[in-house]
Amino acid sequence: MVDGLLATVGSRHFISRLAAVELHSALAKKVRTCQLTRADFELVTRRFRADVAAKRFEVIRVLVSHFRTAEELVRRLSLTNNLRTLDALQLAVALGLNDPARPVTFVSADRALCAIAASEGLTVVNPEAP
Amino acid sequence: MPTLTIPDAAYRELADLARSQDTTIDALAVRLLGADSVAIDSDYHAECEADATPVPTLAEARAVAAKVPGSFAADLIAEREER
Repeated sequence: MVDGLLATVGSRHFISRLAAVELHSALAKKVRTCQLTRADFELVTRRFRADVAAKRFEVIRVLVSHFRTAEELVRRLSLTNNLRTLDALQLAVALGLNDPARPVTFVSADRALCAIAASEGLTVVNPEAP
Repeated sequence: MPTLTIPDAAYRELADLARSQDTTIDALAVRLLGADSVAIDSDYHAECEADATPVPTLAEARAVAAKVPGSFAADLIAEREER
């Protein structure tokens, strides 16, 4: 499904700078827990950097306005939803990119986050949904 | 777009200007420089472009990912739960 989105002609694909950190962190944990080797870590992260360099993913800065939006989302939604700090920041970046003339499709494998993103008006794709 | 280091005094001037226009420094920058210039982390892109080490194939990267049991996405979700 994600491969199909990436192959869509004329589409652009964004990730936040935060996602880059999360990717490295998750892979590093796999090394610490001996599920991956350091060589595996270097290989996957090198491939990621190459994909960024080739602009297969465009990396979005996390700005003051995103923190402001994330805090507003947490204040409004987290009392009744499991919207966590990093979820809120990722969602804030997506909402910042969303434009009626250039609508964003929000891709996440987190069902709860997808539901919240949809309630905020984003079109959502969960690649792990049955 | 290169990273600009703004002296505190200049930053305060920008913040005052943004406040006087009932906007934010980010929004002011978007107005001055264009949305894409502000949004895209060109510094990070430049760092990635500067990496001259050999690039593994997608198949090689996927082979590594396949070694990890379970869902990688589930790991990311679990890590956010720890924060």
